[in-house]
Amino acid sequence: MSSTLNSLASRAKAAVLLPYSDPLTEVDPLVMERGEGIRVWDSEGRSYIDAMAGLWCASLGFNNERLARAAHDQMVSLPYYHGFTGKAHVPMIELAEKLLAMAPVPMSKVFFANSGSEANDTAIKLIWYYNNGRGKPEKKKIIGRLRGYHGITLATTSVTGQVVNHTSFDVPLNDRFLHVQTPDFYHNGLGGKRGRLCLALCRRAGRTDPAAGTRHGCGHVHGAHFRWWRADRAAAQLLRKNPGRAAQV
Amino acid sequence: MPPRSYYEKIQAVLRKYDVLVVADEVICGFGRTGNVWGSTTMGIQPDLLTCAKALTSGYLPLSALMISQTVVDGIAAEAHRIGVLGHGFTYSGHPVPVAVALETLRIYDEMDIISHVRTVGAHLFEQLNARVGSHRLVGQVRGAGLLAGFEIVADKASHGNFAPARKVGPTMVNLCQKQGLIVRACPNDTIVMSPPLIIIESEVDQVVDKFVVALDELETTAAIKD
Repeated sequence: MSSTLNSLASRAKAAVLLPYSDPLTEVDPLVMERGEGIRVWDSEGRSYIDAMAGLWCASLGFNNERLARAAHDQMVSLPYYHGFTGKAHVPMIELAEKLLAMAPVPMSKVFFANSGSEANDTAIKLIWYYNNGRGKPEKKKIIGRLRGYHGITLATTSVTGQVVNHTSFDVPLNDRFLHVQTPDFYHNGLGGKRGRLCLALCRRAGRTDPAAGTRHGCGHVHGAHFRWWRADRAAAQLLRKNPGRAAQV
Repeated sequence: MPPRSYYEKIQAVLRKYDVLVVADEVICGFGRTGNVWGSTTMGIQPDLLTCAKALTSGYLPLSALMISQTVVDGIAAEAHRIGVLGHGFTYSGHPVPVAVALETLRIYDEMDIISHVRTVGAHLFEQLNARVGSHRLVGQVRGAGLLAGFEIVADKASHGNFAPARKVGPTMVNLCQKQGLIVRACPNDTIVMSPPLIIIESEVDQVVDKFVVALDELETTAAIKD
């Protein structure tokens, strides 16, 4: 479909740098106007079942009144405050306590941010901070997955393992970021001699792969283990050669 | 999907080498995989855990990072040595999204979202395996709870995908969109879905109906035939 000069679609293309789109595409963006339950409606009145909940988001559907009311009530009582320089506020305390009570393993504290990217970016920064504090300033490596996705800040793009997120963005940032294979045997099961050997070893150890039948069960653990061992060894060699570069390894 | 014992084994390796485990629960958190956390579904014991998205049902931007006692103690000691923890965003813990998150979590509890996801998710995979997985163009169907994907393959036996230049995944997404269904294409022509957790079984059937029609149409397109 082609957009007329003043259509919402043409205005979107003219004014917005749309994420994850080809800015020069002929195809018009879908301009969404409203939602109800699991459905959304575009500006032409067509309805869609949004089986992505937007971007994995709208878990309670697209018209939950209670959430609108909760936002409104908070807007009226305290529309903004923060947790810097010795401040806090009631909702922040309550949500932190609630999340700690829900955690899958015992957790100690909650840090809030605005997006998954920022939360993951903070995790990376705090891990480096933690390791520096405990006298391990050489411990910098972050291991992600090929094809994995963890966000698009400078640090998290580097953990993300997708080509479009890396190309021309000057990432991964440096040798702090490694990527290992996905633990999925549908594509990545080892074939050939190495695969057969691994399969035999796994069978002997009683490890069979319930997901993939004849394919072996823990080759990726071996593979990843080897990569880390190799990376650790490379880092140790580099350190011996040039201790001054410790902080960058 | 990893083999069932994968994370248990890889964590033993990580602990041995003093490598921390960060669970990115941005998509999987709050019931998506049939447990509150994907970590529970996969047997992961993380040192740090991040979450967002379903935390507020996506209505307002908010994410959270949970940190274990050992790591918090280390961070606290370092921040104390320096004098301050020099990190934080202007909108960290903004009261409005936080209030929406509290209400979202209350609603999840009231409606027992976990049981709902398990029931409807079981129906989803039953339908996907029977009606989509059996299609000539579909390879692996995978996922957990209400997070699902299926790969479009050139050869079911070897699991080979079509050449990326054919844009088979994006073509499928467009065909679905014409049917009134929004899904997404990921690498390896994997069509993924992650519907609102409130979806019910009859709506799942409608989604699967649309997949079947779109797959039959896909077979006739240039992306597959030429």
